[in-house]
Amino acid sequence: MSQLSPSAVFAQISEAVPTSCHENIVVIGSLAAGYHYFHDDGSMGVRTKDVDCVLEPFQQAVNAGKDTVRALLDAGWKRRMIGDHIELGDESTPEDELPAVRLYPPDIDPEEEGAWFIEFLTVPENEDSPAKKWTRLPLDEGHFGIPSFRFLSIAAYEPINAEGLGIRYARPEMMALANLLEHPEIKDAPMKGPFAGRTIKRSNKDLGRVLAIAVLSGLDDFSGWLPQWKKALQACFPASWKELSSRAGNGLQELLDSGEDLEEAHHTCANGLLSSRAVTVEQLGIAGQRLQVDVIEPMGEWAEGGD
Amino acid sequence: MEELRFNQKLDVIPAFKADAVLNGTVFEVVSESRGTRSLRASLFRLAALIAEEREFNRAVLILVSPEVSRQRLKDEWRLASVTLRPEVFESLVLVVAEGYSIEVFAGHLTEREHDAAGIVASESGRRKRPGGVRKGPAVFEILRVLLTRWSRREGPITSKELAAICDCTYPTVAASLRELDRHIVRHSDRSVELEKFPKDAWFKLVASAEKIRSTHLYADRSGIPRSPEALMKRLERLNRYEVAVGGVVGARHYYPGLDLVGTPRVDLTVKREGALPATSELIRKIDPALKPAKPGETVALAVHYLHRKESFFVRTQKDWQAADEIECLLDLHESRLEAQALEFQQYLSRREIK
Repeated sequence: MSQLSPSAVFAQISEAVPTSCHENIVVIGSLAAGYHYFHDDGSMGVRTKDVDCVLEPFQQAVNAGKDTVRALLDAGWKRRMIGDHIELGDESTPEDELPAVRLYPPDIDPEEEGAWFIEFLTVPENEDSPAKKWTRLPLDEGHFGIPSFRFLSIAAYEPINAEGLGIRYARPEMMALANLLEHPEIKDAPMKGPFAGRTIKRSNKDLGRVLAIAVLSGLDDFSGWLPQWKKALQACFPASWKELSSRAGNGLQELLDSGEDLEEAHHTCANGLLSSRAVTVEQLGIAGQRLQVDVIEPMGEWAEGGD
Repeated sequence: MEELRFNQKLDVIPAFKADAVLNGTVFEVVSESRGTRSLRASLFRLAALIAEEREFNRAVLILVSPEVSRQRLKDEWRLASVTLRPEVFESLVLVVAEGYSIEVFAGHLTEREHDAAGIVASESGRRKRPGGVRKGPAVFEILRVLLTRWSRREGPITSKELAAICDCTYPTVAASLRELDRHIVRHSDRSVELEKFPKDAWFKLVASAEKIRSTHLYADRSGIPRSPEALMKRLERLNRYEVAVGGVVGARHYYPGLDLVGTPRVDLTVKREGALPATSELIRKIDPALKPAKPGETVALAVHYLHRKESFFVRTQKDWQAADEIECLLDLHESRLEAQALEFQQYLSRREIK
């Protein structure tokens, strides 16, 4: 897996994306978290191979996506030809069979171990959108698809400006909430490929990210996250925020109660965002317990109170 | 959020009281067992409970300081594994508690169950003593009340009032006062007060303080310890009427000039009435990183229990409660802050109450 410099990758994306589309790009995932916590420290890297960029708002995603992908392809960015749907589609191709936009930078050799690529996603159109939905992105070469996931609207809520770069990145606490909402239970489904040599449940990897963010934040008290969480939930899920809030911590609690799942989550952190920190399994679990007490349980009480 | 409930009667097994219950998990303690008979009986009783009672799906048997070899424990566990239905056997956990340490001997505990097991193990000995909650000799309780009144210049108190405050009988008060005779002044109306600070009685009290006050020590296991000030803020938010702050923080409330930079730890005094308060939940709310301290670990928070009826807590301007002056002084001794304890004691001796 690549050890990427968040600042360098952010700068490269900012330079490659047309200025007119900067405000439509929100970087999410481990690189966004790495940029937030490490961008002042040039020596710190993030182990990842994909850089996820959300195009938002939904109504502008297709136009901004077309302009951005056009600019990247013209600048020599190369398609990643791995996965289920590789060939570009046309008007007759169903949306869920279109290839995702995954592009390597021009200076990267896709065969190299450290190769990374950018991938585009978008936010769901509204709270009733399916858990996963593809949107067509027609270009001259053919049609791409950009996927949306139910809780990307939470992850990309009120993102932070990357200083001087024009693009934005997700607030770590909002990515944490999105992952909590995505996993109200630990599912057995594994990640597509091994993670640092091991098969890992997707739920454990994503909930591990929540714990890593909690550790990196170094906060004395997480209750300061609650107002932003409430605001985002009510804005993105005006009809279902209560139900979502009340079950958001269930998956994390399941993780904390299972030695095996917590150890898997620790493996992803130790080989990911926390690779430069000597955090034990117990300490990682405690970060989760602190989140439960400070912000997840009060959120549940707020949902039950109903204001 | 679930709470740890102690001494729960479970009707499915006649005359059986679980030592504690946490949601669907039952805890039973066997102390200082010398043979395997009690262990076996408890294992099979818990198995029957799991098989019969849908409300419970987990059972934890805690052996406190067992005088049985590890091999014999293994043999008993194996015997249970071949005797019990697999789904019942898999619901059982065997824990060995020695001093401060908790070892999961067989099975698996969740994080919450692990914390609860430590508390259940330490509480069990206390509850099984005749008369319920341990109080220590009444003379120490009465001495602390007299000292608090002395430090506040509140004047004499009658034996009847002392009996009511300390929740003991008149003969007990009379016997205790006889023990303290050379330190007290008796008035014509049969009320009493301390003449001055009773040094020798005080040092006897200090020597027994940890035991009398059932002190529980907690250490931070997060790797990112929260500051004492942060712990205090969280305690303030909880606004628990039965909890007061003692130690350095409490002493500074009475005597801001205490010569000490920083706050080494937070000391809490918890007023205990009848059933055990859910201190585990209190500690979790203050900081889930706080776990029962092992010998040699740096203590971040100490909890001391107060058994008398009147707490003498004082509400501060910052809206938290301070433990009384004497509890604060005992906390300083327990923290080995001897210089600060002496300084605070001297302040209490000379202070003028407006």
